Amino acid sequence: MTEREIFIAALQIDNPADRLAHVRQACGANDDLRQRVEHLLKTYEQAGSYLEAPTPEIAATIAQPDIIEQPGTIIGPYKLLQQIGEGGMGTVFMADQTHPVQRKVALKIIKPGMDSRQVIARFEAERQALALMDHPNIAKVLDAGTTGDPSGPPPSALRPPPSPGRPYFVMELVKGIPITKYCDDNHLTPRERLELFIPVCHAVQHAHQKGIIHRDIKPSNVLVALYDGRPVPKVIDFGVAKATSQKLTERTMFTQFGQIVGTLEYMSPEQADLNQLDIDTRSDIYSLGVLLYELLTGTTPFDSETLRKAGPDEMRRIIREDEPPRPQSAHALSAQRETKNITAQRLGRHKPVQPRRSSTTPQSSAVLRT
Amino acid sequence: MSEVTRILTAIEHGDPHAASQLLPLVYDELRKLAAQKLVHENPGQTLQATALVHDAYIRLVDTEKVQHWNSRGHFFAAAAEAMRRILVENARRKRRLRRGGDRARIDIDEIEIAAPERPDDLIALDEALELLTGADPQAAELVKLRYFAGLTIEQAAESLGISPRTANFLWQYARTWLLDKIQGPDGTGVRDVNKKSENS
Repeated sequence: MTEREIFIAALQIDNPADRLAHVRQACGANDDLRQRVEHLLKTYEQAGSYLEAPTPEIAATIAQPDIIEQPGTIIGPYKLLQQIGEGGMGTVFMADQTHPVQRKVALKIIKPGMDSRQVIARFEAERQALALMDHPNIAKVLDAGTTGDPSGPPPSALRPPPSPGRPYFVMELVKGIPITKYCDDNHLTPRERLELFIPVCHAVQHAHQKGIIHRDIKPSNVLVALYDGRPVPKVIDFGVAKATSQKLTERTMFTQFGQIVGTLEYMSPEQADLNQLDIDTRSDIYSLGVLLYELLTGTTPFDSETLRKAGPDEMRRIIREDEPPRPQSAHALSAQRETKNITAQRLGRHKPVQPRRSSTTPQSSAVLRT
Repeated sequence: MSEVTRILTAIEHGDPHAASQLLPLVYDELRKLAAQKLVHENPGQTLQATALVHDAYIRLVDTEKVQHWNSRGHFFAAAAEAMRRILVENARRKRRLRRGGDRARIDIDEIEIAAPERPDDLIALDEALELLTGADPQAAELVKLRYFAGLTIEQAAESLGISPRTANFLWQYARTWLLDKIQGPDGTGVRDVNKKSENS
């Protein structure tokens, strides 16, 4: 008898003693075989429902080739020129607009994985308000669309249709660098840093008065470019964050943890909450506070290494509950005491006891000027 | 007559070379089908391997002409093998990527398919299945039909030309054999396999 035959015969004997006897008898002098069958029978007892769940379910995602778009690609009336940036959210290109006017623009193509229709719908909902924004320190968002809209060849029966389009945003082209980097590269004094920060406050205030919340203020969204030799900060991506922001859910916390850490450092306590019910203009003020903190001290209030190591839940707890250390570095020490107070004020835990001073942009910038 | 139907008919008539022509066709069709379905689905969508195999069958085989279960059996054997290859290739690729291996663009594949189980589990199963194929080809075939093509015991039995009762015992033997191989010789097991398969 083979191993298989002995095993199967044994399965049909309920009485353990009889079963053992059967195996002994069937294997005869072959001890190896007997041990092997006895071992298999033991394994069978533990096997439970192993492999019983029929076919594996196939979880499938559309593979995400790193970048499909490249210089030369034409998207609607835009021709991509060169890649000028890449973030967690998408890739930014400098592009030539050909119609209705010829100019250079920045075109941000959102990475795959988002529902294009929803993103565009959210953007359209805010478009009117965005159009009303007119501020020298805000880079205008000019247009939004979906890649591969009508331009590509129609899908044929033979060829599966191309993967669904991805949303893109067209913005005023700002040839600048992040404000923190600009300040450090040029060794700006605390005073000069503050001078540069004030117009940022004005820009955000302007947007708030139009009812627009940025939601993702961080150094890479505040660029400094030279105009006539003078540094001018420009806040970019207004309206983009809202349109593309996925709710911070358990799922995103765990699946995209690495990608959103950079954003979380600037995130207000209420944003770090999983139900983002009460995001308002104060969230931006908080982020401005973090930015100011970083401009003056060279680091964010919560060390990003610590946050990264903390893991999703602990990280959200830190942002919500921990009191950030007061600025202590060389920059901060030489800065005026008021500044520290403003910074601390903006970062004040706003829930549940301590209301954060909210519409303080004008006041703070007034204090900063003194 | 479709290509696959022609091959199935040839197998029926005893052409020994026909069977080998079946696999690449079914493999391509399964990949294509998965890709097409996924284009219309959100990322993260799951597909049922069984459903894919069934769809491939409907599309490739003239069901009017192929009435014999024997022919269908040949088809499903090929489909099970194709599905096993697709899943294992993807698990291997996933593991490679996870280990920071090649970040180069993935060639022709428009899609990535992966069983939600950890890729290592599937690869371990596949390696054990390879050994079982050497030791007991019929038992291994049964596992492929059941696990990768989603056939019931009865369907698989018919495909293998054995009784459902025999097939059921053979199934118990095969899955025990595989589990034993995966757990290693000391029988302590590296992990709680049952828990995993219930979760998946």
